This record gives sequence, C-alpha cells and structure tokens, in this order.
Amino acid sequence: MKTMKYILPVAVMLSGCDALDQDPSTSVTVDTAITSVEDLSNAVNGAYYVATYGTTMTVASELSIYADLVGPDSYQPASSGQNASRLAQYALTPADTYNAYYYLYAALASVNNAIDKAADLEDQEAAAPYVAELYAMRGLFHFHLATVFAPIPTSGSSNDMGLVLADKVFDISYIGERASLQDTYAMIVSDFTKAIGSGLNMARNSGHMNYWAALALRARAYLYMGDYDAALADARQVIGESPYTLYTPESYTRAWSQEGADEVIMEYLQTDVYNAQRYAPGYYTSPLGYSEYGVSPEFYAWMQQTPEDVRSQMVADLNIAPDPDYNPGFYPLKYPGNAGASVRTYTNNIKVVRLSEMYLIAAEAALHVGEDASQYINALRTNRIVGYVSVDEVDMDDVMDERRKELFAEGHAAFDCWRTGRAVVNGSFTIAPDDYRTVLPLPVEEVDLSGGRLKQNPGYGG
Amino acid sequence: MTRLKLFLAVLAMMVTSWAYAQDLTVTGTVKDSSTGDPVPFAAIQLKGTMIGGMTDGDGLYSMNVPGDGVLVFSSVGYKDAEVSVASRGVIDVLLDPDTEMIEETIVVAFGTATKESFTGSATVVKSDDIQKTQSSDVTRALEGMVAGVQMTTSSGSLGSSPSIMIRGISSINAGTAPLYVVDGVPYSGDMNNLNSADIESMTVLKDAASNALYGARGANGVIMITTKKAKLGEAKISVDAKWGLNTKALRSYDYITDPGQYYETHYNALYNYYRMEKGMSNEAANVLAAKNVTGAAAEGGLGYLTFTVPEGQNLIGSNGKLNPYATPGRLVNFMGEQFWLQPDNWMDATYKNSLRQEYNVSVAGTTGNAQIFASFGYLNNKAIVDGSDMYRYTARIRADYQAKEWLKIGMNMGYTNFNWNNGNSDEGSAGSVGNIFGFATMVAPIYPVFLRNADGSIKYDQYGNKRYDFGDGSNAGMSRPISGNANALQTVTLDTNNSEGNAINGTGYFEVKFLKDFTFTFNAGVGVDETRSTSINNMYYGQFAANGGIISKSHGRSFYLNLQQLLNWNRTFADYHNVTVLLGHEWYVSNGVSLGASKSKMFSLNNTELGGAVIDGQAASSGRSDYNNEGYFLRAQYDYQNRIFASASFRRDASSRFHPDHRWGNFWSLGGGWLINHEPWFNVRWIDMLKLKASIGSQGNDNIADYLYTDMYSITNSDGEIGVKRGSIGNPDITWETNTNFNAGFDFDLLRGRVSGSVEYFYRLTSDMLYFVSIPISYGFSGYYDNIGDMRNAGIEFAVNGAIMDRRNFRWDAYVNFTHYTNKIIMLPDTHKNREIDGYYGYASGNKYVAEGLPLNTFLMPKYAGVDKTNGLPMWYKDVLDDNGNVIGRTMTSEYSEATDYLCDDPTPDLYGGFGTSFSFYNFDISAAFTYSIGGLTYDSGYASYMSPPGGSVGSNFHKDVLKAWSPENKNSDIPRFVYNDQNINASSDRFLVPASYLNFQNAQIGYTIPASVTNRIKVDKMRVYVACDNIWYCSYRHGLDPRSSFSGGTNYASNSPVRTITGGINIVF
Repeated sequence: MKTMKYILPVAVMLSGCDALDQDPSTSVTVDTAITSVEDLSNAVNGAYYVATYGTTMTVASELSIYADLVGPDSYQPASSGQNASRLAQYALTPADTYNAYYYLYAALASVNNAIDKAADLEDQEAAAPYVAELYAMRGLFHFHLATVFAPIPTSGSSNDMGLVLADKVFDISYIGERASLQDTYAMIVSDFTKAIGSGLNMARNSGHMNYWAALALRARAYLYMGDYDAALADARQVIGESPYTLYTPESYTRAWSQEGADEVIMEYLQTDVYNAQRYAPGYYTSPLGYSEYGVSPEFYAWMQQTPEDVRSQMVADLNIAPDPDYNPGFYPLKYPGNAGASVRTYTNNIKVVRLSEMYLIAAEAALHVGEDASQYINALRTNRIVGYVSVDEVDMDDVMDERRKELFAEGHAAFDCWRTGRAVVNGSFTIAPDDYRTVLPLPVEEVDLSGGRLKQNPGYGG
Repeated sequence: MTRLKLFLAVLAMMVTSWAYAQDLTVTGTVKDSSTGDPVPFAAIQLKGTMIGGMTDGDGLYSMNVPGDGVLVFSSVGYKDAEVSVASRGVIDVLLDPDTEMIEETIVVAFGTATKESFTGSATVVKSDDIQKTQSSDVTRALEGMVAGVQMTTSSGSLGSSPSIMIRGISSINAGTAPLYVVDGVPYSGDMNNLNSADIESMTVLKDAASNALYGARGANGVIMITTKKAKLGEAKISVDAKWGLNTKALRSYDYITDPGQYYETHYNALYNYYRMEKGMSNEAANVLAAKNVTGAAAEGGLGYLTFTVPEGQNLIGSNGKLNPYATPGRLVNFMGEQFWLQPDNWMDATYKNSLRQEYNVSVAGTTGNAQIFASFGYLNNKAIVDGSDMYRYTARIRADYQAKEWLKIGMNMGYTNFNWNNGNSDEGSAGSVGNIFGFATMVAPIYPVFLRNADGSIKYDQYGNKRYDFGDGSNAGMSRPISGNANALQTVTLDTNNSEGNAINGTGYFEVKFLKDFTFTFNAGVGVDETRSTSINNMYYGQFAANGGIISKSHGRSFYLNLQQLLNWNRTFADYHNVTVLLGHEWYVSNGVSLGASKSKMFSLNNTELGGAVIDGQAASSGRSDYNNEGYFLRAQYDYQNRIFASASFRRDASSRFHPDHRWGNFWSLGGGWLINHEPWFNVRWIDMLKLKASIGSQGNDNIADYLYTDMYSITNSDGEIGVKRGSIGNPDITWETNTNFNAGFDFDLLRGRVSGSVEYFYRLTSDMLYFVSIPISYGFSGYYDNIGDMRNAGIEFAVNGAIMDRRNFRWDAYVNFTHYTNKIIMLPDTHKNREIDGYYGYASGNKYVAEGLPLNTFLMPKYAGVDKTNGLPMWYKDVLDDNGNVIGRTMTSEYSEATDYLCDDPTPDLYGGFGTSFSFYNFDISAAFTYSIGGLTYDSGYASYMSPPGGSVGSNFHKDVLKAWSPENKNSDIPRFVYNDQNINASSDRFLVPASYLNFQNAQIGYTIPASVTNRIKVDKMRVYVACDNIWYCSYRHGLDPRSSFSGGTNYASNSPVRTITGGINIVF
C-alpha cells in the first residue's frame, strides 16, 4: 500500500495529451477553399453575397437608390434617422461611408482572389465562364464605387480623381492610391470587355452577371464617359440580340415583384433566405416602414399629367392614411416585395440594369452622334402608353424626361442631372454638377492609413 | 418580547458602567512576553465598564480603578490579558504575541507564502470586506480596496460584470483583463456564478514574481479567489438573510423637464432659425415659429401638441413665452376616437424601485481528519426597470481529508442555477429604439408615454396590453420625430430576453508526501456552464410586428478542464538555508459550443418555444470553438535565516492560438526580499517588520480571438446556393505578446501591527504587442494581427491601513491607497505612422491619436475657441500654414471642416484609489468606503447631445444650459447660438472634454451585534443585524456625467449603471 504514494505521482505526472492543434468549426482555411470548378462557382456566389451583404449602405440597400435620394424628385415622408434621409440631406461625413466603400472592396478582394486561384485549376475550359463572370463583377463593383465616390466624367466636375483600383490581390504592405477618373472608367470598360470576350454565359439568369449584363453596363459606362458611338453600339446590340423583351402596358405594373422579369438583365437577389433586410428600398419606400424615400408632390403631379402612361401608376398618393401607423406621403411603387416573401418590404430584387435603359441610352447617344433617336423612344413609349402615336423627332429634353419617368427609384435620377450639366434642385438644396456634394467622401479609415498618398474628395476636410 | 429583552440588556450594560467607584491608583509596565520589550500604546480597560486608559510610548501606565476590578490589557498583535487588581498598586503585565496574526499567509501561484517571505506584490481582500458589497459579482468588492486596480462599469444590468485593469493598460488590441484563479485553478466562467458569501479571500497578484508561473495568461495580473473552508473546532452554522431596495443611482443631466419650457426652447430654435437664417423680421419669425413648433417634423416641428390652448390662440405667444392660458393635456377626437394627450415624464415612467433578497446558509465543521464546508445561497434581484430580474441558487461543498499521514485529498464543488431576464438588451446604445435608457434620457418631456382615454385613463388593447405611444400616428395621428414607431417602455414589457442555465465548477486534489522532503500534488479543475437563451420580439407593436413576432432560441455550453501536476521539494540545510523547489506541468483545455435557431409568426407570447411559431427564420446555426494551452514550469525559492529571500521561476508555455511554429514561449521571473527587521543590528522598537523587495520577470499574453494565424473563408448561403467568401486574413507569424514587469518596494508593519502598508514602484513593458494592423479598406479587409509595437506603464502605489484608536470597546480603523501611473506608447509599426502632430508620429483613431511617445487614448480633436460674438457661431482654432505646409500661426474659424485637430491630453487619471474607515464601539460597527480618481479627461458626449439644437433629430431633451446660449439679446455667452438645423454647432471638440475626476461614496454599513450574554441563552454564538448601502453617491465634473464607465475616456448617458442598493440584513452564527 505504501508504494501507492510513489506510483500515484508518477502516473499522473505523465498524463496529458496533445490537442494544441485546433481547427475552426464554421470556416475553411485558405488552402482548401478553391481547388475545383465547383469551389470557384461557390467563390463567385460568395462575392455577390459580400457585395449585397445585409446591412446599411450596400448596393442592395441604400446605395441602390442613392441617385434617387440625392436627386431632384425625392422627398422624405418621415425621418427615422436612417441613412436614406441623411443621404437626402447630403449629410454624410467621412466617418459615415465605411460600409458603402468596404463591402464593395471586400467583394472585389474575393473576386480577385478567385481569379488568382482559378488560374491554378486544371479544367480551364470549365472555369472560363466563371472567370469571365468574375471580370464582369469586377467591372460592375468598380462602376458602383465610381458613381458614388467619384464624379461622372461628363459632369465637368473639377474633381478628376477616380478610384483606388482593385485590379489584383494586394500585397499586405499595400497602400491605396486613387487612379485618375479616366483610368478608372478605362478599367471598368476593360473588365466588361474582357468578360464579354471570354465566354461569359449568354443565357438569361437571375442574380448573376451574364454576357448581356456586361454589355448593357458597358453601354452605360460609355455613356457616362461621353463615348456615344460606343454606347450606341452596345445598346443596339443588347436591344437587337439579347433574349430580353420590353414590358408591355399590361405587364409593367406586375413586373416589380417578379424574379427574372422580361426586361431585367441583371438584378441583385433579395429573398426570404438571402439578404432580407430593413435597409432594403422596400422598407424605405413603405409608409409602414422607414418611409424615408418618397417622391415629391411635384413629381407625383407631373406623372399624373399622363394617366394613359402606365408608369403614372408606379407612384401612389398615400396621403389619405387608412391606418394610423402610416407615414402619409407620395411613394414609388417599384418595391412591392417579392411575390411570396414572408415580409415583403424586406425583400425586393434590386434591378441593376433593365432593357428599357438600353433604348434610352441608344436614344441619347444617337442624338449626340446625329442619328435618329425617335425610333428608340417610340419603341419604348409604345410599350408604356396605351394608344401611343409615334413621333418623328425627339430632342434631349424628351429623352431626359423619358428617363425620369422610366427609371425613377432605380438609381439614376441625380446622375442623369449631373452628367448632362444640370443641377439637382430639391427643396433648399441646389447641387450643381461641380458641387462637392455630388460625390460621397471616402471613409476616414481609408484616407488615414495612406500616409497622405490617398486624397479625400474636396470639401470633406482634407 | 425578544425586543424588550434586548433593550433591557443594552440598558443594563450601560447603567453598570457608571456604578463603580474609582478608589485605587494602579501603575505598571506592559511588556512583550517573548522579547521583553515594552508595548507602547496598549489599551487598558476596566472590565465591564467604559473606563480605560493606555500605556505611553515606553509601555508605562497609571490609572484609577476599584480594588476588586479586573483589568483587560490589549494591543494589536497580542492576545488579550485579563488581570484582577486585587487591591495591588503595581501591576506589570506580559502580553503574548498573537502569532496567528503575524503569520499572515498569502495565496500565490501553486501554493501559499507567508507575508514575510513573499517577494512579490499582492493585496488581500478578506471575506469581511467582501461581504459588505451587495453584488452578485464578487469582484466588485475589490473596488477601491486594492492599489493599482482600476474598475469601470458600463452596464447596470443584473449579472453584468465590471471591467478590471491592473497597473495600467497593457495592450492595445489584446485583452487587458486579469486572470481569475479559483482555489488554484484558472476560472473562465461567469463571475456571477460564484456566490460571494462562499469566498474567504481574494488576492490580487500584481508583479512578475507572483504571476510568472501563470505564464500564459498572467500578464494582466491575477486575481486569486479562495473559497471558505472549515476551521478547526466545533461546527458552525451561519445564516445570513438580506433584504434590499434597488434604486437609480445614475444622476441625470440637468435637462429641461418642464414641458412648457421645452416647447418654449424648441420654439426659440425655430424663431432664431427664421430670423437669423431666413432673414425674416422678428415678428414674421415669431408667427411662423409659433405655428410650426407643434407642427410636422418636416417643418421643424415637434409633431405633438399636448397642451390645451384657448381657441384661436397660439401655444407660444408673441413674447416667445408659453401662453399663460395653456394647460397641460389636450382632448383630441381623431377618426372617431377620443384621445387624451398629455406630456409625460419619461424618466419616472421608466424607473422604479425594486427588491433584492439574498439568503445564505453555511455549515462548517471538522470531524477527525476531515473538514467539511457546505453552503446554500439564494438570490432574487429585480432591476430598476421592467422586464429584468434575476434568480440564482448556489450550492457548494468542500471537503478536505487527511486520509493517511502521507495522503491528503479533497474536493470543492460549486453548483449554480440561474435565471436572468434582461429585457433591455440594447443598454448603452443611445440611438437604439429598443433601449429603454435611451428613451428615458432622450425623449423630450412633451411626449406622452401612453395612449389615454378622454378621462385620462390609459388605453388597453384587446389583448389586455397597456397601449404605449409609439409616435407612429396611433396616438391621435401624431408623429413623434424622435424614435418614431418605437416605444422601448412597451417593448421591454412585452419582449423577452432570458438566459437560464446551470454552472458547475469543481476542483479536486490529492497531495502525497514521500521520501522526506517531497510533496506531490495533483489538481484537477473542471467547469461547465450550460445556458439556454430565449429572445422574443413581440408581435403586437414595434418593428417586429410585421413579422408576427420573432422567437429565437439558443443554447451554449462552455467547458474547461485544467490539470496540474506539482512536485515540491523542501529542505533546510545547516539550519540557515531553506530551499524549496517546485516542478510542474499544467494542461488547460477549453471549448464552447452553440446552437441556435429562430422562427417568426408566433401563435402567442406565452408560447415561448420554436414550435409555437411557424416561419423558419433561416437562422439555424451551430458552432464550436476550442482553445487549449499547456505549460511546464519550475520555481526555486531560497531563504537565508528567514532574512534574505530569493526566488526564481521559469515557465514554457504553448497556446493553440498560434501557428505550431510560433506556439511556445518562455517566461521567467526573479525576485528578492530582505527582511531588514530580522537583521541583528536592527533595533527600531516601533517597526515590527520592514521588508525591501524587488522582482522582475516576463509573462505572456495570448488574449486574442482564436485562429487568427490562418486565412479563413466562410461559407454563406447565396440564395440557396453555396457561397464561400474570404472571412479574414491570417498571419502565421503571430506569437506571444510579452509583458516584462519590474516591481520594487517596501512592506512595513509599525507600532505592533497598528499600522501596516506598502510602497511600490512598478514598470511594465509590453513588447511584441499583439496588434491589429489596419490596412486600407480598399484591400478588402480591415487588417490583421501582428506582433508589433511596444508600450509601457510605470507608476507607484501606496497603501496603508491603520488602527487610529484601539481601546477594548472602541476601535477605529482607516485605510487609504493611491496609484499613480503613466502610459506611453514606445514603438508603433511604420505603416501606422501616417501623421505627425507636435513631433509625435502615429495615426488617428476616431477622436484619439495613437502615436509613439504619447499615452494611448490621447484625444485628438479641434479646440474650441469660443463664440463669435457677432453672429453666435462657434469657433475653433485652425493652423495657419505657409506655402510649404509649415505651421506659422493660429487663427479661428467657424467652419468646422477647416478646424485643425489638436492633441488634447488623455483619460489616464493622475491619481486613483480608495479610502475608508470603520469603527466598532461596543457592539456597534460602522464602516464607510470611498473610491476616487483625480485627473484625466473624459468626453462628455451626453452633454454634447443635450446641447445640440434640433435639426437632424427633433424632439430630444435639451440641457438647461441652452437657455444661456448666444442670441442677439445675449451676446456675451460662451455657448453658441441655439438655432434650428445648425449642423456642426456642437461638433466634437475639446469644449466637451472635461475632467474625469470623481469621488464616489461606494459603500456604508452599520451593524449591531447582540451581546453574547443575550444570544447565548438561545444557543446562538453570534447575532448581528446590519444595514448596508452600495453606490450611495458620487460627484463628478457635471451633474449627470459618470466618468466611470470606460477606461478610454468615453461616457454613456444611455445606460443604467450604477444601481444603488440599500440592504437590511441579519447574520446568525450558532
């Protein structure tokens, strides 16, 4: 028995085991993440997920209606203190734009990483469409950033700073520096071009960039750059060759709750199981939600002047409140919620580009290059106005009015003013195309870490 | 009847004290029985009376006493001696030293040390002091009691814990919290799961010599918690019952609470706007402002008129004052329904007083070779707002058994069952529509809390719920611009935020003595905490009504296992040289798992399970995390003639948080002590103990998140498809942050133990800091961890305890401690030095500047230059630059974006600590404890918010100082004009940086112990009744400002801390 007192210590002294190597339970480490084409497909999905991440100030929340909020026709039926009304007041400071910047760059980091990894895959042929899509996404995300953080080239702003270009996986010691505005748009066009030319999917799909989306967005980019020949050519190709068709007066009002509607070339998904959120335009345009994005009484009245135009039904006078919870006002009806969603105001696919915009781009570009623009406007109006009689000639004001009617609440209004040299006039604000408030400030986190190499937009404190 | 007995007993005692005649003069000397030295200032008491005296500095005394009396001689550090006078004129007395008191032991890493031989820095807080605090978290009892310890409390929620920092800020991005060790085993559970009634002592270890053996996690200091064990002797049963009242202790800012005055003030902002910004005449401005003040928010109005104004008149008259005929409350007929609108006091509607009850029973006893301690406790605490309460049952059993002369075994098991409701989960978030404290402090006094019927009674809905005003039009069509479509007061009553579960913490050991000098100890500690949480967002009102209510359930389990194998060898050579060597191995495994899901569209609020809701929230998730470490260590201690002490230790540690190549770190310490009073030549009678000590050593800190050494992707749901996204970028090179710690000082005991204390200097150098290196966000990630940067904290601590007076029936003790330290960043990564200000290179982080050579948390913001007397606009200083960008002067600007950011000092106090006192007088005892902090700055964001004119937000409270704002009629004000829609008027500047100094009356207690002569009759050894109060009062720079909520100089006026508790209790020992 006495020997126990020697045995016990020895036995226990030796116990212990090696469990110092631990792996995370809900993540995968980098080495195992992208090793097959399926993985690459997953990485593509992941990049969309990041860009549209369910939070404030992403391209699936306030940024999707940014140009409307800061545009001439917006009005705030209520102020819930959210970012939409702050945007409409031009009140964002460098401390407030982190999300607007970060999620797109985080998505770009995922895109560039996937492009890198794809190069190591064996089956390059199968990988090609995904790589092409990644380039299209890179162009798109840069385009989003460029419209928000840099002026539109044709606006004539004296600010000629573009973006920090995320064109590769950066080294850890990297410091962001802004490219010129010209180089920024050159890259956007070049990424779309690369995507178009390298096997991008040509079939209709939802929530993914395809061939037509890249082409349509390139048309928009050319328009913003003032390259009207190129814009016209791309828009024409989409109009002529793509599988998309214009809504009709009958289908127009119903199309907004559908996924993959006739005209929608590219949309960000926002469904019950993906990205449903309160910062969605649906909740901002609901009289029972934040109610921070309505249309002005003037816009409403203007739209009602043409009751035969189906688009006049896309704004509602909700001033006669049926329910005390309502915030009375005039509201756009383009975000009725996805059909079948459990909370409709949280879910509404965000339309990135629609076919009708191609008609409008073609018309505008045609006017610039001296070609006939009326054919495009006539084609569009025929599908909007019951009993429409074609016109022989349209001018720039007609095209701009048509854009205002067709594309309101879809992220165009303010850009259309500034890029054509017009000021946004709304309430007490008059924002000329060269006003510093036409762009958002870069987040302070980006500027401060650059050691002075990255310049803030003018007017936002150095 | 009992009360009468008690009264008579007290009376009898007092009367007898005057009954004796003093008829004899007695003189004599009082000496130490062991050394023969005189005992100065010893107390002498005539037994059973208040008559007494004391010896002089040479131990001599003289007093008049009755010849048949009995004298009681006492002095701290000695056992009392009773001597019958027996008509003698000279009585010399020898007092025996009370060795138990001198041989004070300190719980140290893997063992204990005597106070004399201990070469490190430690402070002990004993159960008597611990018991004074009415908190479910025992660590709150450390507040102000231990030099070097800083504490902040950001939450007043039940079951919240304070943040503790020992000897300065050790790290920028890694954790700064100390390690808790309960009965020798690192404890990572919730501190609220330990019943403070079970705690015998807490020892705060502060220096390297004390901490190095905890290598891995000792860098931020160690708090050793020792639970009670039975003492030798007859079994004792202790019963303690407390009943307390919780009240709000956080002071409010001095804001406008009168609704009429609020309307006037808001009117004024509009009036000023129309005349100053819109160029209207005073008359036109008055008319428009009076019209709009109660109008829609879009026109700058408050949205509500809650006064009845005579037909055809305005609420605000042409003089800018409230219409004298206006009366609060207004009847409105809206869509066929009658509503009574009245201004409510949101503060009163939010807060209430609530009950706290605590009962503890313990039994401790010894039988043969076994010691047993068992306890049971029950705590029921209710918060001072609705929807929050806490129940806790605790049980503990501890047994120690000397099984054989060579074998000792024991175990100690604590069990806790808890159930918390914390209705206000968004505490501290000022803008959150779910934060009741935000509502209480923000919403203007003109708004109704409830929907009311025409007779003023509160409306109820068809489900029996009170109707609260959500400001969404439901109250007579009125829209509240602030926190619209929300009313946290209702949300708190209808929503649920519950956590309930069980925690078990146990330790077991055996100790074997073998050969002659060896002891082997095996310790095992295990802890499990299972918590099940329920969160319900109601389906009736507020933002989740659209979902039909949401119920979320989650379960979490955390587990840890700690094994220690310790081999001790102790031998004394040649009577002089005492050597102790400890060899050990420690193994720590911890993991946590979680499981959760949610559903919406609930059947009823009473059905609190997922089965009662129908739409899956697609949020089912589970997770697991693991963290392990392992260490080998060696410690050697040596003392020479109990006079010179030396210790050395070494520990090699591994952590799973680092890459296998960088996992192991080596930590060490050296310590020395010299007990000067044991030197033969030392002969200072009034010094009992004087020790010079010093230590140096290094410890590691791995207090960062898991898996940061590797890149990670996470798996996402991309509309039903698999998506992977890059989650984080890892750095395989990260390893231990090292904390090198130097400590030197004196410990002293003076005047026979009447005064004791210590003075210490410390220097802590944190090197290879685990630093979150920020990268430009266009990289796609915000940053990564690296070991880069050095920082140091250096300071002094002083603590002294003393018995100011010590008579047999009267004793007065006091303590005071203070700490002064400075913090300085020594080295930062080059990539983070993107700016130079006043010669310091670093980077801005929010309103702080992190730079080499400056303290962490140095404020960086524009400096306020007063009001432009011509237009009332605020001005800030602005550097004037020459063409090369050099500063050549300073000017002022009213354009905030042009203002220059300047360095503005930091939040570190110049001096902080605590002081307190206690008296015992016959059977009464009284104590009071204070904490204080002097110096340092805090940013008073609450005041800045209350001073802001309406504009971006409308309808929030105004500080009364806005009434003194600049106006054309009051051009000499230092407060900028008060004009609707002024954006930057109160932008962040040093105008709102105020001293963070405070004085806090932390705790007071008064008790009465019923005389033994009374209690013995009912077989009770001791019975004490008491009243105690926590968080009694504090004062700070401004009424409403509480600088004690963060270490970094932030304040929060939308939180609930602190809570005052006044408790009455009774303690019975039998």
